[in-house]
Amino acid sequence: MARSWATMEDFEAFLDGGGLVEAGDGMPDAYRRAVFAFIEMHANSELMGGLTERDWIPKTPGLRHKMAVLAKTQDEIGHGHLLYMVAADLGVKTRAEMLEDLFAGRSRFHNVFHYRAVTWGDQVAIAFLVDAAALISQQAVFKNCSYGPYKRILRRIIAEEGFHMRLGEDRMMRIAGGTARQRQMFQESLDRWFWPALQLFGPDSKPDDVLLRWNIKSERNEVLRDRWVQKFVPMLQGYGFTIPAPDLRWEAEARRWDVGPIDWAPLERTLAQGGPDSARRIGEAADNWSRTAWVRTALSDGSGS
Amino acid sequence: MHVYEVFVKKDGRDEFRHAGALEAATDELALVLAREGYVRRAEGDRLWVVRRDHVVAADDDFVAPNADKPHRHHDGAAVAARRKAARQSRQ
Amino acid sequence: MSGQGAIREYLLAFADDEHLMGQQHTEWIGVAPFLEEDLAFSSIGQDELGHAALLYELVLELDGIEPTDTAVDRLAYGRPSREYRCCRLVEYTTRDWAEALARHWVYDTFEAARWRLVADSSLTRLAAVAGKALQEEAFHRRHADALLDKLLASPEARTRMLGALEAILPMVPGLCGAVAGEAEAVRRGVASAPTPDLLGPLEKAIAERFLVEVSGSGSRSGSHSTADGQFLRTVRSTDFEPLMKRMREVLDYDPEAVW
Repeated sequence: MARSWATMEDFEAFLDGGGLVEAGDGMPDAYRRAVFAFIEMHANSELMGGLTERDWIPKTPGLRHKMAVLAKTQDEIGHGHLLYMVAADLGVKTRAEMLEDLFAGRSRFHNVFHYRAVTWGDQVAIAFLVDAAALISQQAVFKNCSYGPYKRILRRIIAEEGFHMRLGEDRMMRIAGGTARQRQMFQESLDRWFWPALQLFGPDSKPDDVLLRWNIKSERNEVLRDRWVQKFVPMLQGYGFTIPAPDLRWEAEARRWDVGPIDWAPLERTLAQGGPDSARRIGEAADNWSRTAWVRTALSDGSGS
Repeated sequence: MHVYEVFVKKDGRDEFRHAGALEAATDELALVLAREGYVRRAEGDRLWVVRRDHVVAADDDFVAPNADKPHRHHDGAAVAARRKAARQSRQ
Repeated sequence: MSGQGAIREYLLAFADDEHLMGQQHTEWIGVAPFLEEDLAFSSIGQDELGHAALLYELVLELDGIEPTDTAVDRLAYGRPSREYRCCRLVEYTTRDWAEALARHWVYDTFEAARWRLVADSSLTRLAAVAGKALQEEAFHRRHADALLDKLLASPEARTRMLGALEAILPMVPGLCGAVAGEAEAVRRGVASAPTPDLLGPLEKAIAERFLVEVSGSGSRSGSHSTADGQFLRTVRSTDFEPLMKRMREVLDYDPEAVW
């Protein structure tokens, strides 16, 4: 038999000792559901991120540029794949059930992937700001994650997100050093995406967050959010862009940037009602999913060879 | 469809390592799909796929007793201490 | 046509086919039938775009232009429609994944044969590209075959695949269609045989793979006819303009910009 723990206290003592839980373990049901929900949301977000980028791939300005962008989007879909495989092994939902729930609008994913990428500048802003936010979150999960299969797959995901960050920064630098129209385009993208990217970290963590208690997350949302702000505010300003935060100020004594109060209303609206563009993207994916059902049926036929 | 476990190895380095899993209808499709799923950046140059239901796995309890066989390890610290004592007694 | 002009036409047809084929494959990212296939098909698309970039570089070298990425992009995206030399098959907007897979198998079967024609090219750079491309093509074929092995064995999927093949087949002669000056390019050793020589073997391969009669198999082999309406690949189909317009959208937004 695989490992099991008689009480939640025993299980938490195991986690506190740095223990890693494996798929076949008899983990407490509450832990199984919490870690599953977290990985499923991560998987959905990777896939939705890929679908957001997908709209702009044919329009990528340049042949080799397009290859690089494709490799990035391929990674995002690949992360979705890795994560759905890991999530399915928890036995809460199958991979197909997770995808069908997503396509039926029953699942959650990160707020940013509800919005529409309106220009090419948005594509770059997403690659740069949103991927950076995702990377900061993932690094914090990886550091102390108690669920072994997730931690191991995160190593690969984080390495690939590093490629994406460099691609995004490289494209952003070209725009920063480019024409007035390019810079204008990116400034408008920054105006659209700065706050959604910042809100990817979510509101301040609750004191009794079980994700922190069970070492699924290792740092509080507000700590991660602040790490992103301290890195990207000066970087974007350095490239000559304006941060769309009217109350932004430099706290000289603490040597840190304060972006002022965060308006969570748009995020809450988005999470409650869905975003301006996710329904279209999900609809398109759902349509393709049902139109290709015959392929999956035929492949599942018989015993295989 | 079957779940396949994917193993990857770098030439001349390390052992085959478990890289992840995928779903495929046939062995050939599993190989073809594993190539782009797991080694598209040359993460390794050897690739194995194994159907999960063909993996013969031991129970944890079956392996666990071997964690407690100190006589097979010859504690390095104890030997080093004895070596040091022997050196000192010669001086 | 001058020897140089003939070679240029030959390379351009090859490059434009690869460019558009790569573009078409990549449209499936995120919406293929299953996630593993998203990854595999996207890789194949990336390979084809990579071949296109290398072939465009050879065209630029013939033109005496330094083959920078910007120059490649100008050639890839910046010509008037009549100056493209792609075939109808790669311009075609598929209606479903069955057509995309049928085209993928047909195109890659043809493409491997096309690379073999230039594996010993007198253009040594082209021969070098062929070596790399042929390695990649072996994977592309295995991918398409592994899917077809399973799909053609299932009655419903087989019906769908044969329907898709029916839509693709009329464009196969055009795929093997020549460009102006092809005979001259062959005389100069750029390729070991003209492209239309590939039609007969290709139709035979299709017949064997799908277990269907391919009408006219072999009969049009070697023909340089313009019966497909493409007139030596100089005429574009209706799918071309909307596709190219989409591909140029950002480039057209600011022609001065480097992205």
